[in-house]
Amino acid sequence: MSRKVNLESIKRAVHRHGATAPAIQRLVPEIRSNDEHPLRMLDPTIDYVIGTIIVEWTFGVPYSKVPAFHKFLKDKEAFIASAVQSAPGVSYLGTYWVVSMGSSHYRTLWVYDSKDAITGLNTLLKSSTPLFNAVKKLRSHWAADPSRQELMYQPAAAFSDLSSDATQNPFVEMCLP
Amino acid sequence: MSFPRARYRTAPDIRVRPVNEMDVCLVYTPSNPRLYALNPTAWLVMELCDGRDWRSLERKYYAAIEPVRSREAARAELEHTVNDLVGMGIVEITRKIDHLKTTNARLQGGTTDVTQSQS
Repeated sequence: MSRKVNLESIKRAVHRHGATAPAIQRLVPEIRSNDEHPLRMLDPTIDYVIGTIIVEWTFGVPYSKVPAFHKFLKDKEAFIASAVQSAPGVSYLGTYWVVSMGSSHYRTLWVYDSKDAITGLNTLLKSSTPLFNAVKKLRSHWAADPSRQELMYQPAAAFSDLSSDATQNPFVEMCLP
Repeated sequence: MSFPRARYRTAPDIRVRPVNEMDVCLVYTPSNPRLYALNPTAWLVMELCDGRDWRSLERKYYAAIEPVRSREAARAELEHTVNDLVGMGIVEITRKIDHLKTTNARLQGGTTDVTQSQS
């Protein structure tokens, strides 16, 4: 099947980047083995972190849509942050712009106390149309980026002992010293 | 590089995914499984390789990037980039007659690939 090529659009990109010399970078894909670790519960001794489970949406927004996106955040972000608190253990920490010259990249951060808190937010989204619509709009910017990422973090200190994980998962075991 | 009968075109089996919001183009070469990210200038060179000959390639490339580069500098970096693209299997060199046969076969809905690399 032939591809549609928009040479004029590529030429505009060339000049947007100052007609820098041609560069080709080989990308080495990350191959993920299935050495997954079970989520840890809230550890009361690790009370200095921002949360037990952090979910980060990473995405880019085309420059032409940046002003409207920032306006949307200014209008709706406070509502999202307030409304999600109806689900116990859920916090919306905001959407952050990578403030620098270059591409318009964003990080949206969510914090959960537990897996149940994630389930609680899902339930709340089903029952609150205004919240659903606001999060849907935010999520649509993430979904529109082919390079989007969604990452889940837990405090590394909560994983200080991996031996029980190793007994359950040989892929974890083979990675330990 | 500038064989008079040579034509430059993208290899038929590559997978191309423009990422317009980041101004890069991702290219996958299945015959030698590798993934590449092309900046806009390299992306332009690749797309100009649509079966044209070297002289046309050179003319179109220079027209696209002048006045940022002199004609000589443009020629040198074009040659370097096309060499890289050929080495990576993204662009292939065909002879004029092969190119015409392939084009005819495509127009007639045929699938026979009569391409013969001139490496």
